[in-house]
Amino acid sequence: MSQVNLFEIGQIENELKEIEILISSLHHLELKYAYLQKIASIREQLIQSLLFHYNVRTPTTPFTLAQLQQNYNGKNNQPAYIAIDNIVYDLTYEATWGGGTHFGLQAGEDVSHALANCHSQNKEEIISKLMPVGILESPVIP
Amino acid sequence: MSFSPCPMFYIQTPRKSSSKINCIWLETSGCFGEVISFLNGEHPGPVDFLQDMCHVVYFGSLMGDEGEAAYTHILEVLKQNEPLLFIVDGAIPLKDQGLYTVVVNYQNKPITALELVKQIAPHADYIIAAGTCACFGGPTAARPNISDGKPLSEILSSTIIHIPGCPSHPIWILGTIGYILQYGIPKLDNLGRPLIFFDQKIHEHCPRRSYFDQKIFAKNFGDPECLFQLGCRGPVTATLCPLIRWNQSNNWPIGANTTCIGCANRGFPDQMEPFYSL
Repeated sequence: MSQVNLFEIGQIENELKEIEILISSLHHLELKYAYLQKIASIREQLIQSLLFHYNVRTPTTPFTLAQLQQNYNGKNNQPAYIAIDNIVYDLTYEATWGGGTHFGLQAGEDVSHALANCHSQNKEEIISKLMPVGILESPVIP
Repeated sequence: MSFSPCPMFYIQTPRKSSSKINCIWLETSGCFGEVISFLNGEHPGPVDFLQDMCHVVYFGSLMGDEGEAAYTHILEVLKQNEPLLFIVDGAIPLKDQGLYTVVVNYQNKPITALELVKQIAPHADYIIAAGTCACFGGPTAARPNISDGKPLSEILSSTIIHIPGCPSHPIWILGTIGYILQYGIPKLDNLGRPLIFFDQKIHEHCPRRSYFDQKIFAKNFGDPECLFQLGCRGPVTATLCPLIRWNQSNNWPIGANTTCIGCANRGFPDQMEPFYSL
């Protein structure tokens, strides 16, 4: 469900509303409440998806900095992960990180400091477009 | 005035009431690549520039005069109160009072690029920094920057039109000069580059863009797919290379199956490295 984008979430919600209207006209009470419960559980999944999109629920897969440097540095066809403020993001398909490098930085590192220095004005906007994949195991206190 | 096909004879002494703007093209600490690229220009080309567009009083590599004789052209045009277009090609070294680049020995005194740029700039109505070295330091200022080369904007405080590129494309230089002659300074972005040439990324117009969008990437140089995973800097470089191509041909780096190295970016070459990641 986390692959559904925001537009699709809106469409699904509209369709759920239409189905609810149809269900509410059922006379068979057991069936009616079973269907309404099913709709409620679909809605819950949609909310999880929405939260994922707004980065409120971050995947909690732990990574150590050493793991990032060795296995997720973008070289030799490895994925390119970086850590910003103790959250690990996947930049493998991020256009500005060709070959896992960006303006002198290499993937597999904690780039919080560089981000704060170079992109001080639009830091939050940049982070909101990234895909989180986990958290740093030993948090770095800035 | 005798017409000759040789560009050297088009550099003349400054005339008082010239209908064409005076122009000084000063080469400082660069590699001459900017001039080579400029000479590739077409419609307009370098001869149009020398003959019709500007009244070029100094262009070190193209003029017949040398040394003090050439420098007196600059001194004469500075005495006039006529409009002046000042083009600087190359970074400005600061180390040892700028002695890493001496433009001329005048009356037994070396005139450094640092000094000359500061001397000419107050008289100039339009200042163009041609090439990444003049705009942002470029390869001249790359690690370890032994001459302490600086971009023109760190030497002068006036408005400078930046036309980066290593080298820049003749269309960008000659097009900007043509625009200045007709309309004045074009709209510039936050780095001083004309929006008409530098407001779209290579990535937006790359013919391999659909490969990128489908995540189909080249594994080696020579593969026809997107070169993103090999370190292409197209997504961060705001030039028109995929549209205008280079050297009056249909080719350009990605067309030649090699990555864009971001040569027009601030931070080239140090921050564009590694140029490729295999």
